[in-house]
Amino acid sequence: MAKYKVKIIRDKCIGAASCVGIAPKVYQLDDKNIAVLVDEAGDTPENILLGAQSCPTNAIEIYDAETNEKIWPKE
Amino acid sequence: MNSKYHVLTIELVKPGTIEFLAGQYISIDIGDGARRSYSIASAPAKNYAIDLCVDVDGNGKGMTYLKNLKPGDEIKFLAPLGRFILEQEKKLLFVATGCGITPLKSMIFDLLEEKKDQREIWLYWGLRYAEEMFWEEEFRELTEFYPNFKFRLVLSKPPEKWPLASGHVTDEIKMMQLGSEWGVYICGNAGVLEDTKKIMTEKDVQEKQVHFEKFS
Repeated sequence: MAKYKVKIIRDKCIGAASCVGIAPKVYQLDDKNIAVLVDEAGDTPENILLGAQSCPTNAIEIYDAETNEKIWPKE
Repeated sequence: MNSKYHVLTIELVKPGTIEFLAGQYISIDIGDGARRSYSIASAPAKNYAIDLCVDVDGNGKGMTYLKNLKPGDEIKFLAPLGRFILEQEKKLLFVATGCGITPLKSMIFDLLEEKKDQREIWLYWGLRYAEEMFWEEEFRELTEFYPNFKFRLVLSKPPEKWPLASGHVTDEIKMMQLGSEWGVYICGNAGVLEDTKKIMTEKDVQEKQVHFEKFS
């Protein structure tokens, strides 16, 4: 079971693609240059979280898969 | 630099150098589980440090964090990030307002000083007041050494008898002869971004040749 649940807030995405650079098997951009989730367990939990943390608009939210606690963003 | 814009130089410790593409940004850990993104102002050739430009006119978390840094403080950041980078168009137009100049400065200095690029390159940079001006000398010097580079600084609230361009950058761009051979790189406020994109459509610059970054 994946450690994290990933939620992409597409309205916030500006297509900077930093998430894709860090975890390309998890995040990709679609034909509108907006992030999409490819595989929630496609990389290590550390890289999945780092991909979310690198987003300049906090367009990726990370939740604990077991407890549903919001891990990122913290603010 | 002045009361609105500060330029910060971050010397790299571990690792001691970085490879990046002009136009990319870094994501700084500002503490309390928060991060902020800042474009890199320096050109990739300067690989031992990174210059940033920060608008300190406000009280945002990122700005407060950076403003309070003292010489010698250590920070952590992720880099390089982003894909606001140069493509292969035949002529280049750069459009910035305020701190939006940051990634464009990296691109322009990389093109001219490192790559000796011969393409026609125009920069329009909008600021509000004369007191906010910075880096203008550096860009003016480039125009002296590189005849293919044209620079226009536009003040929206100029002092009386201001001899140079005033108004909005978009008013100036409307008067340019542009076309399908141009690549346009925009970084600045949302209004300028949307207006410039609209002007480019009217001037037959294809959408895929209009590149923009929504933060700096």
